[in-house]
Amino acid sequence: MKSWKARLGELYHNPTVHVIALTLYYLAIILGLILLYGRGDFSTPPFIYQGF
Amino acid sequence: MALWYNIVLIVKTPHLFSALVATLLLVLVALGGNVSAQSLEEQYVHGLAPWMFEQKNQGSALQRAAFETTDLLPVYGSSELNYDDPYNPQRFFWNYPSGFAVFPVGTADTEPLIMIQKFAALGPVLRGKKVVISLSPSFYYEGKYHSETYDGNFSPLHANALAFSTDLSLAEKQAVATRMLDYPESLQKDPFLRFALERLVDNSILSQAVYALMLPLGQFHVWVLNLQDHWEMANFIYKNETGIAKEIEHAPRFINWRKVLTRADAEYRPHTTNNQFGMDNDQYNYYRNDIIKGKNSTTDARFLALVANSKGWTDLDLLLHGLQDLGAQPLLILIPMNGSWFDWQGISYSARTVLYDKFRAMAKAHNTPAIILDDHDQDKYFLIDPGAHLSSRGWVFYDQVLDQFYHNTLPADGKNPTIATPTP
Repeated sequence: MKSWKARLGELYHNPTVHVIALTLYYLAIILGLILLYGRGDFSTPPFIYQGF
Repeated sequence: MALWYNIVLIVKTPHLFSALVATLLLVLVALGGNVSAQSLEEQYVHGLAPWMFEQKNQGSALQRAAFETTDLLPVYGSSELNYDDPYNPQRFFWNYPSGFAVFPVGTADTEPLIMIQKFAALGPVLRGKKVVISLSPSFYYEGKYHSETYDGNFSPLHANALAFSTDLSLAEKQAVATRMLDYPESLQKDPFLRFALERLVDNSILSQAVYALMLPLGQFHVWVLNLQDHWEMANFIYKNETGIAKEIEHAPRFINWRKVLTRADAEYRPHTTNNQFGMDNDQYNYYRNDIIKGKNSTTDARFLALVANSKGWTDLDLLLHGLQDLGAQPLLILIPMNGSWFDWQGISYSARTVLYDKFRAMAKAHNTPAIILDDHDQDKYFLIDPGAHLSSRGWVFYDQVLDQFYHNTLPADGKNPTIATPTP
């Protein structure tokens, strides 16, 4: 009976699983960056309107 | 052979392949999100048309949706559009009395240099479309705009869109970039933009080559900024959904301008009892000390020197050139000066006429229709304050201009439309 670690290792060395795992890994990195830095800042500094 | 090569690629560079796939998936999601956001904006643009809020001014998404309708007339202006009055155009036309409503854009001190950036960001959607540009005379007797008001209106999206636009001529972009570089604080947070503007204005072969290399990256940046704009607009709509009118019942009717004017006069006059200028009582009280100190505080010569040297003319020229490049159909409206206030300060009507005539000449030189409301310069109840903020009476004349522009019925001789009632 193989241990779960051994089975996991076999799965990871499966080329298809390896590529899918890497893709999800990069998706998570890019999504994380977007969530941290992706929001635009459309605000403007306040100023005193002179009127005339 | 190709299949074998791809297999080798996958086997030998799995990180590259996976990163590319992840990026492509997110780009597809972004494109889908873009389409979904545009659909949302189309759905809510009529309900949001009369609203004045930051994302409307600082973004382009909702403006673009407005230009893509046939029953909204975009009006770009400044503080005058933000003063609440029952006769201001967003209220007067809200239920489409003559087939259209108004889509105002702008906040205090939105100057032509800011406006051309907004239009550059809209690009091809402007082609063949009507747009009203509402301008204050103060833009033409100030030597230089205060940088804080420029910074307070500055939009990174609009500025980048102009810098990397392929819809404006190179000469136009260079000229606008020269003016944008007069406000370095606005560019502090965007060194890439500042660098691009500096390359644009430098005519050397090296700088132009560097700018050409930057262009694709700059356009990608603008694409990202547009995505952010869509996101913010979608957020705004979701947060305010219950307050946005979904269906606006159109109430077409014949507008009897004479009756509307009589009513507006009757409503406004009782609020002008504490001063000789026809100003609103509250506005007069607010500016009272400055008004009293302003008596004979200047001269025609000083005023004319300010008019002659104002950078406002340069910016107006840039705006009109840019609108020609973009193929828009603009109408300029110049709000008059408050004649009785200017007389009080020591600036005569003949001096004020120099400004009006110069504006007229510039519009003519650019073949741009213009309504200069100088026939109301001495119309005592036309403005509520020393500035260019219209009273109910003033708005009725303004609204009539908008109505005639939308319906292509402005007087063919170039004269201002009139309403046949005696001036108070």
